[in-house]
Amino acid sequence: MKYSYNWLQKHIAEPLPSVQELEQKIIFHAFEVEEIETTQGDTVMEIKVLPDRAGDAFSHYGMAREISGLLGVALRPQETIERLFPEVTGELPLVIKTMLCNRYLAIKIEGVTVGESPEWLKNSLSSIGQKSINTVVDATNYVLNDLGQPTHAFDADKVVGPITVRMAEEGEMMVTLSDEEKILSATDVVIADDEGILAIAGVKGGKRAEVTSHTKNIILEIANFDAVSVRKTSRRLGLITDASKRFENTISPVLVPFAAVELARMVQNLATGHVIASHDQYQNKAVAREIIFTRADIARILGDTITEESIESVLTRYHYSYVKKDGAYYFSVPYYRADITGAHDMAEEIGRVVGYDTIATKTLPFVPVQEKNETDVKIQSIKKYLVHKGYCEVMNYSFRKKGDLYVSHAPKDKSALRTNLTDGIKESFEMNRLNAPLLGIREVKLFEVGTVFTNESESIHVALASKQGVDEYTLDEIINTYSVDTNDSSLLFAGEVFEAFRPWSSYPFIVRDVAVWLSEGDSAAQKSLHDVCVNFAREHTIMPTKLFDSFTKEGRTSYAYRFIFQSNDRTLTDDEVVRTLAPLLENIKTISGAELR
Amino acid sequence: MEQEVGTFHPLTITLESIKTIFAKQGFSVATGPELEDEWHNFDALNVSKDHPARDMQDTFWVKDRPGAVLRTHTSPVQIRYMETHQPPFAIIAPGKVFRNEATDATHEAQFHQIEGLVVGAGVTVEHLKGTLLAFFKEFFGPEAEVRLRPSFFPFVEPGFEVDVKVVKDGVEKWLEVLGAGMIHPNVFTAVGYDPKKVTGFAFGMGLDRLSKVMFEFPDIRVLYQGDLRLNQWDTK
Repeated sequence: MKYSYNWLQKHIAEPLPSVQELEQKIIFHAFEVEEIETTQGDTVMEIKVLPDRAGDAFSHYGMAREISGLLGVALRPQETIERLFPEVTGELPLVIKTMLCNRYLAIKIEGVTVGESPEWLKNSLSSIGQKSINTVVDATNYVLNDLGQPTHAFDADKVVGPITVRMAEEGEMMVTLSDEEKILSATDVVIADDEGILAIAGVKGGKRAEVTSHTKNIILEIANFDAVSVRKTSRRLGLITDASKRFENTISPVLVPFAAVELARMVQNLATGHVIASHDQYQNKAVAREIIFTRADIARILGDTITEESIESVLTRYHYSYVKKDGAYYFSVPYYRADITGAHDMAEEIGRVVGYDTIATKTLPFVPVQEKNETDVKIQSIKKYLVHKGYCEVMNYSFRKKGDLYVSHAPKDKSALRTNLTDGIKESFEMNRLNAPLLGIREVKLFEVGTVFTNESESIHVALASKQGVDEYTLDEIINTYSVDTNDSSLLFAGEVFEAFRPWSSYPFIVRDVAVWLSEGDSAAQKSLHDVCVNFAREHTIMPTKLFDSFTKEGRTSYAYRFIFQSNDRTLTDDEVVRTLAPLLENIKTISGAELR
Repeated sequence: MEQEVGTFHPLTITLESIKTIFAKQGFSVATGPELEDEWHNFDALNVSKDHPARDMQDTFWVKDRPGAVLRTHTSPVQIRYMETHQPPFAIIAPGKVFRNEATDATHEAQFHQIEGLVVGAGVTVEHLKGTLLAFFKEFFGPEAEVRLRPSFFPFVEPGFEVDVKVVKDGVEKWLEVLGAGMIHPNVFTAVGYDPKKVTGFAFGMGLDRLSKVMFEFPDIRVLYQGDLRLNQWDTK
């Protein structure tokens, strides 16, 4: 999620440190900061919040709360609902027919003027990559990104009868705000009125009661829905929204009234109007949880250097409430930290804040018993055996076009699991045979060790490819066929320093053979020819050259050298190669007795 | 004529180097199937079906085989090993894994991981740090340092991203090479261990990525083309 530095600052009572300092704090003690972008007058941080913390930190307030703990500075207090509408009693009927709705708070505001948002709000939203739509919709988006609570606004004059939270009927349809038709099933929770569905609970609003510039009266929804239910609906419909992402990560229903205050106040400030009714149905109450842990519980995970002082300093900095009794901490889990379930979670809380760099480095507390893994030994043995027989190892894809088993959502030509290694290694052999001049080997001989999959089972196979054809064995078959020694424990390698990889060109190569007649037995001329060719190859070709053919006839000996030309950035033409070769040929002609064949 | 010697694939070279170093610390090798079931790949690893943590890995599901999945990580080997062994032990589990994601210079639909798992009484983060530091000092050189940052994997708590400092041609660089953590109590419960009696750590690293660093590949896609121009390292 994108977090605005200025927006975070609004929640923190003291000035934040520099962006760089803040970034370091966050990276080493909380989350990964993926990107930092400076915009006009603000800095936006892309912070990767993983599923364990998405319930509390997927909002500016939540992130500010984490930062205030990290820095040990105070957070500005949130307002409570009593301050906003202590005396609101107006009529706002609400019917909740499913326990998958944990809490539903509706607020009716009359006499709004829906218009363009002020600059500060437009800027806040644009800083985190969101478009401004109108004052009311912008207020809901602001609250979502500020507190992490999804909310929704309905045009009250388009709602017929009471707001009802119920299960959809199988096949019931709704047109979303983005004009998509969605067919619902009986396992989806929806918000409806007497005429049908108004919104898919926790996922997306509908078109029918959309707030537009003509809207005069609105109903605001600040609700909490079951995480698994929202997740299933959003996945099935392919509607992954800012709201569904918040709900599926389990946010607390305790958050609802805080968000209601902020949203109602913002709407009244931006679009005038006044609250005439509110209705809060809270049917699945959040249960306060307590976990008990000792220093020893933390030390058995983080190591013995963890002290009670460091545990308590973390608890204090985060304003966590706890009681210490007989050396045990009775820790009240804050409502927003559903992820904390035991001492192992507290070890993380304490370890990351204290800093993992403060933890010592030790060797294992026991001497492990080493056992041989037969499969691994066989694989290593056959690889060693085949390489010493002149075979070169390849690894191909496990995916093919056809097979017994297919995987879903894969490209058509790569959706089957290979049933053999033969098909793949044949292709490798053909490619390498054509490339043989580039490889500097006499004969292409390949092998692959890999897993194949049939309807019955998966098994490890070994395939060999050479000009004689392809042979494929199971791992055991080949070990037995070639009587491969599986007790040879010598290493394949031992502490070598390997040279860096030399990338190859993807353009075609051109081979030119140069054959020269010299007088038989003229070793001086032969050496000159050899030197000229080797030097030329070093300078102008991609492979070293060597004498690859010679024969003697009628008092003269023919010597043949092979040259391979290839460019890294284009396809070479024959003309270019002829021009490149010309000086070599001229040079050869100056050697005594030389004649080009 | 003298027998010409063949060549190993660079991933074999990297894997052998890694295995050799861990063997010196007493680690055994464990293996497991590439075609897994949902229990070993997810549920036993504390990744329940309807939890957003499932989305952390894009999964290849096998058609017409409910619950069959190409393993998305080598972590199911942890489960299989613990189901059949009692602590204390130290293992590494190398193998091919699959992710249904777009491929580019650093991502492939198939790649290789090496999982590490150490379980016993009194195993702490200190031992995780010590084990990894000893490994990387040998793999990357004596200047190597190890740094832990908070992260999240459902089967560990606390979870870490591990960065390694390498020095090449006098230039220091921190590489993000590994995920790790202390085994989550739910994982121990799933395999029938008593989480009150044992602790342990696990780590997982990408073999392709380590190989990329070792040999300086510009693009990991060269690894699975079957092209022998890749095998540039001579065998003794």
